[in-house]
Amino acid sequence: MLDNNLRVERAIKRISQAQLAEAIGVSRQTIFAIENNKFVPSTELALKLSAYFGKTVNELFWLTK
Amino acid sequence: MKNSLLFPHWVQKTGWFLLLCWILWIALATSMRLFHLSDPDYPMWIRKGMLIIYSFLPSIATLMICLSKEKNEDEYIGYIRGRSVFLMVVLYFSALLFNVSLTNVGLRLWGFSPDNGYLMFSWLYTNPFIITLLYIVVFKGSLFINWLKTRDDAGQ
Repeated sequence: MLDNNLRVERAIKRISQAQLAEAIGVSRQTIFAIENNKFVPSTELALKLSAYFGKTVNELFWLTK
Repeated sequence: MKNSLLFPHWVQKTGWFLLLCWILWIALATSMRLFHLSDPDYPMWIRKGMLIIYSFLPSIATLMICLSKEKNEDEYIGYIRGRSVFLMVVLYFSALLFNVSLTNVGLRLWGFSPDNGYLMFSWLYTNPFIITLLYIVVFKGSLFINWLKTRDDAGQ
C-alpha cells in the first residue's frame, strides 16, 4: 500500500487541488484520487509532484504495511 | 493505457452526433412510418443503403466514442478506462451465462429439454453495437460517479 502527504504539502503552499492539477498538467480528479489513495501515480507524475513541491519522491510518498 | 493510440476528442463529439442522428432518424421513421425497407416504391439501392445505415451507423458511432480521448485525458482517466473494459467484460459474460442458465432451466421446468442449449436474444450478444454501448455506459458512469465524489472537495 502507498500513502502520501500531498494534502499537507498543498496546505503549506496554500493552493487548491485545481491549482495543483493545472500546474502539473492533470485533472483535479487525479489529484483527489492520489490524495485519497485511490490511485497510484506513475513515476513521471510522482517526479513532477516532487519537483513542484521541491521535495524528493520519498518525502511525498511512502509504503505502508 | 496508452492514450496516444486514441483518436482526438473531436472524433468523440462526431460519434455522439452520429448516434443522436441515428436515434432521431429511427424514432421519426418508426413513429411517422416514413420508410419501410420492404416498400417496393423505393429502388433497391436506396433500400440497401438504408439497411446499411440502420445496421452499421450505430456501431461506427459508438466505436468512435469508445476509441477517442476525453476532454481532459490523463493517466487517471486511462486507469478508469482500463477498469471499465474489465467491468464491461465481466458484465457481458455474466449476462450471457445468466441468460443461458435461466433460459435452459426455465425451458426444462416447462417440460422442454433442449439438447444443445438455448440462448435467448442471441442477436443481443453478437452485435458489436451492444458491446460498445455497454462499455460507454460503464465508462461514462464511472467518470460521473468519480465527478460526484470529488465535487464536494472542489477548491480544497
